[in-house]
Amino acid sequence: MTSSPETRASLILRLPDAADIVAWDEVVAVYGPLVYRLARRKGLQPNDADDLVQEVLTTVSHSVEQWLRRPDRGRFRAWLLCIARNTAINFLTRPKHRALSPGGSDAANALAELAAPDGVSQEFEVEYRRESFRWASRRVRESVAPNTWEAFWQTTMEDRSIAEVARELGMSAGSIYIARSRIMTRLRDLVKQLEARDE
Amino acid sequence: MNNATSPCSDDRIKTLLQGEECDEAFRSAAKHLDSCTTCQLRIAELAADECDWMGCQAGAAVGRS
Ligand SMILES: [Zn+2]
Repeated sequence: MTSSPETRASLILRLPDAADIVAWDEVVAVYGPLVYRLARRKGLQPNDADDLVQEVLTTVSHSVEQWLRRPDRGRFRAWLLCIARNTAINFLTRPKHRALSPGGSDAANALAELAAPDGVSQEFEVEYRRESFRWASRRVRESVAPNTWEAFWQTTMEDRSIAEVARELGMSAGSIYIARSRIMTRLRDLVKQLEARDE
Repeated sequence: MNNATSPCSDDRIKTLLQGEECDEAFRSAAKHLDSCTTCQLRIAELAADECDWMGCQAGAAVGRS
């Protein structure tokens, strides 16, 4: 989807002090795609959205140590949203982007939306939840047997009946119940862990 | 219903949720759940709580990624 998440991760991992405090690879894995999708939804082209993500993460990497020293720093994601918004405004007012959209209407619309912070932070929260869920699903999915994952997925996300899925996967109804409940528990624990890092 | 001596207990269900799958306690709880609709409903109830907690939007979004 976006360019190399590894590059972005290593960018931030170069900060040893900050890396002690926050699990940066996870933060980057969650916030990189999040900023990207928000940028795309605001009308930025894929390449521009990618550039924006890089700029946001670079700014974060440059100022995170300073931010960590602030006693009143608040939540990481509020701070990151603030940086993302400022970077986006800065980004959209550059001549390059004004020239890209005839009459400058796309950039102007995006700017107008960014200037209404409430809407953006709500969207940001929703995206944050989605992204942390995605991140947790990737990790859980990698760590369980394919059948276990399917049992969870089919009976929750696809809303199919336990009996039907049990037949299809050749599992007992009991093991379907167990498999999907175990996965949900693990997903919840992971999302909570991630959340706890931002308190 | 949470009587420890009853075969149906939340403790046993917790073993199923968080225990090691190769443990004896897990296997016996799993065997019990296979034939006990009360415990199936209970574990599903706990699972539904988790699902609410995660939010349907989050779930739906994963399907599209
Ligand atoms: Zn029972």
